[in-house]
Amino acid sequence: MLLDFYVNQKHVTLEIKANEMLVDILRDQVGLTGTKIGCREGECGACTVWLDGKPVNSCLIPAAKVQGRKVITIEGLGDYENPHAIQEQIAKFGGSQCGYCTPGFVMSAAALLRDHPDATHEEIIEGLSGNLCRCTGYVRIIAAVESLANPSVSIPLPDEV
Amino acid sequence: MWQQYFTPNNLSDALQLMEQHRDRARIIAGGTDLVLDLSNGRLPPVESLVDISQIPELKKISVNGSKLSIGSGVTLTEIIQSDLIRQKAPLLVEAAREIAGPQIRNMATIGGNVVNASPAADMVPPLLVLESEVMVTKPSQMMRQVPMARFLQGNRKVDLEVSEVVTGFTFTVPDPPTLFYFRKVKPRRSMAITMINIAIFLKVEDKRIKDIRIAMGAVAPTAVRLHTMESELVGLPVEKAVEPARYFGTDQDIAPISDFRASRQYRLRVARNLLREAVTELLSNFKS
Repeated sequence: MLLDFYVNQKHVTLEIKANEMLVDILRDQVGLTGTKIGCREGECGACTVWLDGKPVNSCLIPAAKVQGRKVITIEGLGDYENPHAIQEQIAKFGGSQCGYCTPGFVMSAAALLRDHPDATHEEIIEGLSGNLCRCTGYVRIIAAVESLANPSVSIPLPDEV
Repeated sequence: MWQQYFTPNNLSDALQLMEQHRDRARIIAGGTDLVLDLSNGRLPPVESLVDISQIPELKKISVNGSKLSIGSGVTLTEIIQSDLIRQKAPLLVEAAREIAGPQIRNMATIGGNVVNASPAADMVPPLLVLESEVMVTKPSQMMRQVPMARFLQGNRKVDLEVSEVVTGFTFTVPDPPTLFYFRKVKPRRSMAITMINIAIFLKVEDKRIKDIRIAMGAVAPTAVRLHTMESELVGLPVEKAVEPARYFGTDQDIAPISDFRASRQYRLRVARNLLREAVTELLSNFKS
């Protein structure tokens, strides 16, 4: 079947199978491999993208579901030359180790701060609760996001520890 | 898996597709349960999926006279963000907040949570104590309304024929003095499936319980109203209602099983304690 949708504000038309998942066509057909596959069952959040502006698990969404709709992936938020503020802060705070979960966290955090620019510590924990990280223990990811909501956040940076 | 995927943008097209494909098709809304169940073979394969998540008629939240109606396609996030639902039936907001994480709540719908018919579904006990009706439609027929308690027929079983679509839920808006309670017992704060959940609707007048409705989930094949306990508690003065001995009746209303989430013994004990704690908390405002 033919799928017409928008990825990172570009109109894309693709021939897909009705039962393919959004994460697979983003990675394999559109070539955007920043979106990661972790659990494939909606538990880990590594595949988080925005659908019509809201973070969703692209591993649980049949690609056919996004017909005519707008998808934003991590590549649409920032890249090496022009990182998103959250990417910069996560790097600065040492919130990324193996890095596999990071794109998903950035997608969740960016939506959270867009909707709640002054999110509290608790709201940040809740907003990131659909993303798993097995390296960092979360403290530095949360601090990185919190530093944008509340600039006075204090945690030793990696080069100070 | 499926070979065809339809995205109708109005209800009559969706109904027509279901009439055409009947048991070779299934309705999909958010898909957060269904996609997994079809992928891992827990549900029998189907040829077609009919996606109702973008149908405007199913996404309405409205008050009509004394009735509040919520379309089946309303997502859990939309429930949490609805001022109308927060004002009129806040326990639906509390229940929705407790489900999964933000990404799932952005897709999952109230209709899907009910039709998926898990005994642990978190939107169900609140709808039971609100005595909600389920609105069901099929092609070329009048809509029918079924009380929530009758709609739930068993584990993974609801009163829904092939080609029927749940279009929404409707209930009488409770009067302002009504108190609500919702709590979910779960192993961690997010992304956890319920071990036991409880919803309570309570009215107190002259320091006596005037009306109480209690529903629990994950303690029987469907979420259930605790009728024995309700009749035990109704009419009691506030001071007497909080006596621990009254809560042994909880055992008669529920039939929990042991599974990998919790044992039967654990669920019986927690159910009793949970109910007593909930009633005590709700009544604490009325003690002299």
